[in-house]
Amino acid sequence: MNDADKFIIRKAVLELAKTGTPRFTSIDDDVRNLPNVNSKVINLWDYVTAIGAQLSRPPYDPYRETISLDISIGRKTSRKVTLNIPLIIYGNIAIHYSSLESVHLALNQLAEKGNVLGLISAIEINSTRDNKRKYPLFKKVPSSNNDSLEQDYKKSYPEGLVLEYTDETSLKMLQNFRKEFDGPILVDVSEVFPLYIKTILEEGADGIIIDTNKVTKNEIYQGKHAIAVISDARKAINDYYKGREENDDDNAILVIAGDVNSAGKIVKAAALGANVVGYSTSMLIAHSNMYSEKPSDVSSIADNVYRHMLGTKGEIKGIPAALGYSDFHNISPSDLRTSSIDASLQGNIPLEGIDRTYKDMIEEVLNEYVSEKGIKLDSSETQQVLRSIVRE
Amino acid sequence: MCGICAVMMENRNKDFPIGCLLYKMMESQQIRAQDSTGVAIFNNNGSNKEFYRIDYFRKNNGKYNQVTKKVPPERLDKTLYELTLDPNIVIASCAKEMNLLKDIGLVRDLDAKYKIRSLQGTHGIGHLRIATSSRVTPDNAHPFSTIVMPDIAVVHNGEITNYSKLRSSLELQGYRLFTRCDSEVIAVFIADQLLRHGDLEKANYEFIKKADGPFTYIVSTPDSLALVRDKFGARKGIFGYNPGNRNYPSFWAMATDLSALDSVGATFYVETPQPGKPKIFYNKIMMESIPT
Amino acid sequence: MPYSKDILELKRHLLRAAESSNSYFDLTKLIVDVRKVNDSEIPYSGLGARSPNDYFPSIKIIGSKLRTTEKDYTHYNNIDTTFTLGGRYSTNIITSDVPFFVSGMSYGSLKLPAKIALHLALNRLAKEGIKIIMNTGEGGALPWELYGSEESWSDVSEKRHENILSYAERLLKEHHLDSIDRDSLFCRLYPLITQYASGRFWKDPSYLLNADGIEIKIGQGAKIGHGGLLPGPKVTDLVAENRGIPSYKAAHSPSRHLDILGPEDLVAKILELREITDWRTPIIVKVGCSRVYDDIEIILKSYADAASIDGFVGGTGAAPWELRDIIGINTIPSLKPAREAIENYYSTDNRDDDEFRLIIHGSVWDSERIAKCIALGANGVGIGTGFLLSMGCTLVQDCYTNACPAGLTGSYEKLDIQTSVNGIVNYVKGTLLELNNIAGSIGRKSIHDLRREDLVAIDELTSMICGLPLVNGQTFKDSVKEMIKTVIDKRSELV
Repeated sequence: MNDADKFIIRKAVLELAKTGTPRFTSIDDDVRNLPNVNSKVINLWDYVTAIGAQLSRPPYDPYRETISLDISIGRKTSRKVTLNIPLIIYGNIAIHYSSLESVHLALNQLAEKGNVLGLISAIEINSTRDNKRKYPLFKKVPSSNNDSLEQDYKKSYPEGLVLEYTDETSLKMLQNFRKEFDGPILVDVSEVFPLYIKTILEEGADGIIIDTNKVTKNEIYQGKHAIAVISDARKAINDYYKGREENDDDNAILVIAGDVNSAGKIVKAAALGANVVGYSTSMLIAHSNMYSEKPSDVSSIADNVYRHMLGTKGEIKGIPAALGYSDFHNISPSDLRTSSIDASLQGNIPLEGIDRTYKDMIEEVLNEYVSEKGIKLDSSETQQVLRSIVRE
Repeated sequence: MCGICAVMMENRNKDFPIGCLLYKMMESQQIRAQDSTGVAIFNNNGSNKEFYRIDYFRKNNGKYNQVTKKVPPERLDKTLYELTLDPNIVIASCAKEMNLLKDIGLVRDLDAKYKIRSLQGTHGIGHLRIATSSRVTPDNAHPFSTIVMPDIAVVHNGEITNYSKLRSSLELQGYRLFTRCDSEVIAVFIADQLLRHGDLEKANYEFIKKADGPFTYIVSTPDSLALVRDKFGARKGIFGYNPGNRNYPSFWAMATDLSALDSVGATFYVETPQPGKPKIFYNKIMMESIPT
Repeated sequence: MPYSKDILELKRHLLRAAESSNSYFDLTKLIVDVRKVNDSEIPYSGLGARSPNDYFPSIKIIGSKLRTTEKDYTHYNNIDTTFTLGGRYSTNIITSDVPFFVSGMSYGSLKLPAKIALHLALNRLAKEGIKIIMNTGEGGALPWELYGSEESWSDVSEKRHENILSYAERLLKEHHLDSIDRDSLFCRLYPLITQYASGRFWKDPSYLLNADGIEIKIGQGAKIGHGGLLPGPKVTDLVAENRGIPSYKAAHSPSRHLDILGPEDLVAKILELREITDWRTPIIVKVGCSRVYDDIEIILKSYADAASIDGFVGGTGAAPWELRDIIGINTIPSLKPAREAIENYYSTDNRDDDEFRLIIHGSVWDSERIAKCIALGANGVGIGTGFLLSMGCTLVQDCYTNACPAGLTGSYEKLDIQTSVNGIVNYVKGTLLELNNIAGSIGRKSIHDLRREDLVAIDELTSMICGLPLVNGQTFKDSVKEMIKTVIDKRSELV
């Protein structure tokens, strides 16, 4: 409950509890719809919920039954990388080397206990003998085409590569890397989304990374929310795979970063189609040490990051179990509901209670209207009319 | 989904009315599930082996009419294709050696309509339904079959929670599913696996790996019967043996609940398959010998 | 939450880092991250989730008034507000004088003084002619709730009689409540529904046999798919004794009843309970609002007398923070599919419209909300947070710790029982008078005569989800058809 809710509820009930007589009006109705009460911009994610398992399907028990979070990254011909938690640490927030070192130590601690996560980073932490890397590193290669960097990545043996796609020259780089590198190559398309997806997948990329914060600032997605981005990205990847005889396990993955930094959002993003989430909070925790009056040492900060990730793992294990799944990756869009027309349009999410999307509801009325008036519309005209209505 | 049962004659007798055994088992569980019932009986002595039999429902203003078409093999593909073009048609089964009968209502209503108690065959499966999702209509009753392969039938107790994922992956490969009931996906999945490698055990292991949610199902082909439980064993499923006597031959029976096995005396030897390990009975020889 | 200095400092640093970074971070949720850093556990929270849209303010009851004239607010005093439960399969029927009752709040999540306040308040109301139903919650019942009449002691052996009284003494002593009059305590004048949850927290069969109703709790709105939860520090010795569990260890109930995995198991369970109670006691099944149509359809077929649904904004003593916030749907949208399931079931041939009841919970804390729910199809309403507030709750949402500032769910502050009792009694009386006025001012003789036709929606979303017309009389379909006409006419102009 937020402060406005609490104020309203307390005012209503306390008045009754004090007097025992009817109120003159209900503050709920009078005040709630005023513009300044709802002046805070609410994130569209808050309007989306997931429907849980109870009677029509039973829930699993995360404390007593095994819930799998594992995911394998890599298409048929690539060397595969397996993560035990579907998160890759993402973001260039931790700019100081010591912050990055804390993250490195924490990821090692996690990997030792069977909690392997990935890291995207341009530099590799200098591993001493005691601190060799036990988690997969996805090395970010700079976009300038440079021979020496090829030497560079060959020296450090990262498990995967991340390539930022900016324009046609990036295509050439992807082709070169694909020839030389046998591990998973993830292509960050945040600068160019929604273009080039098919081409990139055809060239053998093992995954697409999208930072929703960047994409929602570009021309096409201006004013839209991460929900639209994830939904469109999943559709683009599915369209590529239509009719192909490939095994599900060997498909290219979708990595979503940006506004997905809490357990609830991770689950909702996964339901909309993300396979792995690019998670930035661990970097933030490591970096926040810089703002402390008495900065702690690297290994205390590593402990912080470690504990935080254990808590996050517990959260993202508990939620699929409550939805009736023993595997995190089985969550699907049909598990989501929304109380916002905008969210329903952006992500094709059914509205709560009526269990159909807003577009379906309008289409139903359109079909009824057309048959009442005896008008004939072919399917493309129907789509056009639908689009004009939902835009209003 | 609620009560499943199956019977298999040990020595492939074709002239014993196993429909009667299935009826008894289903009647004993009827109080728990009363939405719809169905049976699928294999290798009925009197069936015409030259023609394919296609059973389908035609939707007409909310009512469902049941239609049966007999088709010679050379016209099978064309007929199936034409039927799939009509959105009001739901194909229930396409079979040569199997008789699949299902409808809403109680098992005694099904018997009154189709005389299932007198049906003979080598083996058969049965189901009583209480709906958990998807509506109570005749096409949503079990057993489910598929046009991918003839003579395959599935009865299911439980929920396939990642149904939409499995369904879209099968549809992407070009398979057609007719209802929104999650049990149909089992039949199509197993049929697809059998087309790839023909091994029923491997097909079931693949399904256990891929599917999520609690389930126990029985899948049946002209010469085999498999009882499968999910990897957590969250739903019950047991099988038992009746050694027979001079009045009737020996048989194996499977059911959700012990009381169903009891109603047909199949309690000489009772066992439950391990979670995640399918138990398969082949019609030619028994896989397990009965311990003395 | 009285956070320690370290946690607050960490939060401050995290906030500054987040504000100056070029990435987007939800600043209101940073406290969740800080708590995970602190103890690597899943952070809990208390009370309800925030739903940015809970629909109630967007629905209006046309023409109704809470209060009629300046002086005369008891003008409509012969409105029928009774609520009955049972009779579909049970031989007994529970009657309540108001269409709302106290939702299950367990002993354990609520401390003893709060439970006693509720008990005494409901007794007082019953003496004044207003009987309300109370639900025990899943933590077992207190001795005076089960043995609140002469006949309830009739089958009890002397030894057990002694044990029960000694436990009661120890309870009262722990909270320094020795001075309470035992006779007025061991007296129950209101109907009691006991909750049969997955943890099975009770000590003896009287929990089922002495109850006026049994509620099988499959799930609750705040933590759908997750079992009941009582954090370690709140499982005191006496709480543990009442529940039959070890003390000071967190009590995680299983997410599902171990013997109810599907609908056929629910049928078997209800038939079993009916046998135990001789088919006398009404049985309710409670679920959280998620797959409402399917769940209600199953409950209708399972020989239950009523279904109870709980919106995801419903409160709780303790739930994992993120899980509470994201699973389930709102209270109002659940009413339409629930009603549809009931109507479809009864429209099938051979079924008489019998006494099946629909109860709803979840952020319904005043008479307007109750009336809207009833108009949309509920028969009765459960109230939790409203009763807590009338006892003094300040909505700090720290129920899962021992530090409740109002003394309701924590042991550090002392609750003034008499003030709380007065608060509850006033709250119920005031709400009842308001309900009378709402129904009376639009000419209805009974609160249950409120219909959908008495409601309007003030925005498109509510109109669509509840099937209500907008203020100008147009339904959702009408307004869309108007838009379609405009678009198609424009197109044919261009052609």
